[in-house]
Amino acid sequence: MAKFTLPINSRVTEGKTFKPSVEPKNRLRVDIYRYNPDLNSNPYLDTYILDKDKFGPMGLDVLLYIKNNVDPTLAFRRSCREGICGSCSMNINGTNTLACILNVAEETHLKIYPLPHMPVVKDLVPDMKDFYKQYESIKPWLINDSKPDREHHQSQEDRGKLDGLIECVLCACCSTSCPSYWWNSDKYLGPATLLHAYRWIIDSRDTAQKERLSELADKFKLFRCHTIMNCTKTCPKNLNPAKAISHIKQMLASQ
Amino acid sequence: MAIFHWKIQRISAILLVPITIYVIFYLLKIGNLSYMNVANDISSFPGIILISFMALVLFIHSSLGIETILEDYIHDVKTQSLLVSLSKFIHVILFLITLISLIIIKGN
Repeated sequence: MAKFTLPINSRVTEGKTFKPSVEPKNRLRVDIYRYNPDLNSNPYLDTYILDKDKFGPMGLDVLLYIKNNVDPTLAFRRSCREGICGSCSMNINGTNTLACILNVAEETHLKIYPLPHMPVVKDLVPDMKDFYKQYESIKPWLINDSKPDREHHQSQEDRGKLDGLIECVLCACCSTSCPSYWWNSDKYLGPATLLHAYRWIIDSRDTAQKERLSELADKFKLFRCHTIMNCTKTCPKNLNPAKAISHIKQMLASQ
Repeated sequence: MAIFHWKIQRISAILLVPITIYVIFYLLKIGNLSYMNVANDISSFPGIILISFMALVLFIHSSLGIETILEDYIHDVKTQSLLVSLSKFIHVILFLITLISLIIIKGN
């Protein structure tokens, strides 16, 4: 059965509060989900009172400031700091997003959690193993047995069909915002993987369109999508996975 | 099979729109009709066809919808298939009850 409450060992308890000695003028309160597997205890919520004048305007600036100056034990993933690598995906103020491209300059209170419904490795670091396995399952590479002398040619029009798809950085914000993915993440591929599947299905250079479509024609892999649209709403790159999924369904229905 | 399920769910939903609108308008004026008027409407040839068709589409749509919900929330495969079969059986019974009711009304 679906579980509607958290198991006892997942319930978030109160943590420590980190306050500066002098009350900051430009105050920002940040509540961060903390979990340390070595402590063998429940996750807890630490509170940090910060001065906004001391760091940049983005969510990642806040986290880096905390890690460098307040609490070096805080764990989170980050790399490019410009929305290209997809590493710093997390849930900030109730929305999955990339911390590096979220402007928090106007905020006075941030609540930062790891991506929802994913196993947590530590603090804000989720376990992405299954997500990547699902991505691998759609064969995210060009399948074309012909051997052209140089590159596989593609018209500008066909190349244009890939716009809005190839920009996906696999941050998993969309998949982890999807209730269908929460309930059936073991069988449903989720919006990110399906967006990439569609990207290869409509690539004019790929010759495995039929095989790719028949692989997806499954009541769990694809049809767990109930057009909830959380994926499109949350995507930090403003992509539209729900549209890509509906196109796959239409292609299957018209076969 | 998954595509068939998806297509039928949508086709049945579209078919239910005009039928539901007709039924709503009929129910709005039902207060002005006598018992005999309503019984005659139901037991007329178009009435029987409409109600049978509506029941068929409605129960197919409902059965597919409940099947989807059960697949979403029941993870144990055995329990899931048992409940899906039970749901389908109940929907067939409901459709048969509709047909039997029509026959009884027509007979009276």
